[in-house]
Amino acid sequence: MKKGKLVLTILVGLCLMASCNSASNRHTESALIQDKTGSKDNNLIAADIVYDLKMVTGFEGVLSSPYSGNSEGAYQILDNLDGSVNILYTDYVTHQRIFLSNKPDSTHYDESDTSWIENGYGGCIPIVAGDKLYVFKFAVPSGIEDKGEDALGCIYQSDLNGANRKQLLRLEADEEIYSSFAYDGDFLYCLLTKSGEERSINLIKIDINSGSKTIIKTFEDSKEYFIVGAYQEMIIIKEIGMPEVNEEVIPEDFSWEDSYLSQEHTLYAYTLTSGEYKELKTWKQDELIDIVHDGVVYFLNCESGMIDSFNLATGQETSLAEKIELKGQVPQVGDVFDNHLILYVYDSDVTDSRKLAVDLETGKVKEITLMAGDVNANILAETKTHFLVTTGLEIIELDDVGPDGQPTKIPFQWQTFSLISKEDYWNNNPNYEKIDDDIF
Amino acid sequence: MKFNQKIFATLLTVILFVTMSGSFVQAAPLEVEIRTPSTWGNSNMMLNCYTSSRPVSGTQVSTWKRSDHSTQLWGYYKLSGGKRALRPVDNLALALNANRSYEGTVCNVITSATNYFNDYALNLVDYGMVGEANKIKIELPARSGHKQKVYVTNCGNYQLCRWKYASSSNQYWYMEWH
Repeated sequence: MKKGKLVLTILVGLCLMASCNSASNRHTESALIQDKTGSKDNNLIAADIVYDLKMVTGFEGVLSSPYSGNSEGAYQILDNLDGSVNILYTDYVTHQRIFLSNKPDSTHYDESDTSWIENGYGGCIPIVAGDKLYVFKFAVPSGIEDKGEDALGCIYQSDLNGANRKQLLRLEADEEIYSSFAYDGDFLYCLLTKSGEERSINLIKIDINSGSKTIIKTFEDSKEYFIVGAYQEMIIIKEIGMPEVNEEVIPEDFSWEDSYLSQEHTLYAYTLTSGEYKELKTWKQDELIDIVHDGVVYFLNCESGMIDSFNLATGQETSLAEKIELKGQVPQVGDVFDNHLILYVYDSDVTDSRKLAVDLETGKVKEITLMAGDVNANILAETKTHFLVTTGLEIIELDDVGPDGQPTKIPFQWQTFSLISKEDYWNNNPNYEKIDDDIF
Repeated sequence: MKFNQKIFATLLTVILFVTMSGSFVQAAPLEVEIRTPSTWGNSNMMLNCYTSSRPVSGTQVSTWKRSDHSTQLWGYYKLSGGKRALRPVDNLALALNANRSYEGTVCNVITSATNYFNDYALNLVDYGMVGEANKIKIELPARSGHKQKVYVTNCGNYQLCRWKYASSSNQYWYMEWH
């Protein structure tokens, strides 16, 4: 009997520890916890659940997220020709871009240097989530035969200064990740494609402490899937698929463009607490453009230029005040910064594009004409008051070996950065604060 | 690349649909090779990153004889807006890109997302099946220094490819699943 009480006490203690830990991390399943405060009936009480999911990469996924930052600086990856990479850091306070190195005067080319990663085969991108820096390395399935384990995808985790780096997760030979990442303080969420005996696409969560991965939901593999947003306990997933095909009615002149235009986009909200997978909207290619920001889904009508919004928490639907004057041009979403939706609007044949910023609070639309010489000042990262933008492009000749095995020079493209206040950016005032570097 | 039976079945379905419709449809990223039509020169030339090491931002794109080197393999990825990007498998953070300074600029691969989306979100214009390959043109819309749509143009064997306005047969390519 005493042994039974001891076991019960330990279990209750563990449950409470789990409860406290979960509360502190704003995350737990809807576990029922035994009340240890003397309830004779071992009453069960429900723990409150508070998820706070946020996107930690761009909505286009890890393939198109080469920068990641926080309020103090931004990280990027420098590719070396031998397949290794260095992590670079742009410090907003000192206005310097440096190697994320514990040895400022070193060559930044050996394992003792915190900026250097020997195996970057397949390409790498940085992800800042909480107080950790992650470096995600892509898998190269076709390279496994030649490169072995170096071709596998993996995630490195370190402190924000690059110290204490470890391999958090290594993917299996049949696993690949291309999606965006969301984060809730305890787990990273992404889509994992498994191409083994049972091919599948899976929403998974990765424990940032143990590196273990858990499948949350499995999707049919006849469509393509994207994580395009995250809010509170919801992950917003887009599916792109083709309509059912009746072989007998496919016209002989059915072209790739017809195929492209017949794609069906459907947006779903997956709720972690309930497992509900709720359809939000379906549309045909080029009818609408969607973007999710801060709990609201925005839909731009590609014909009328109207932007409608859908609040994920309340279900409220509204339209923004001003519509986009498309003039027959094609819109494309850039991203959202400082609660402004960046849109590119271009003519598919003969004229240049326009860059527009839609204030999501007021609905007002403004054209952004800001340039730095002949370089577009594109936003890479933001703080509360400033943007990090591209303001230059240098071509640096690197010694390489050509496909014929002979020495050659290659034109490495090196973008230079500046900070600019948000006010100046939105008002097209080119008051740049240059970021210096001596990387090359 | 070895496929299991299910993937093979999926691809067969894809190929059947492509054969019937002359269209691309697939469920996941695929590795492809892109080559010149066999009627060009003595043999097929591959669309190739001009390096024998590893593509970095700015590595130029040329034609080259088949080397079985991974610099001749491309990842064919759908973007969330429905368009596609071609990425060198050795460095998927890069994408085939149009430098927009003037018509005729050299094709290269650069870090995607730091430039205009429309510089790497491609249209692959389809001209039907030839054997197991799709005959295509690789197209980008007009912008900046370009007054018309531009296409990846074969400028000769072992030569750098360039983005040029629509012209004759040297803009056709054969794309095939690897």
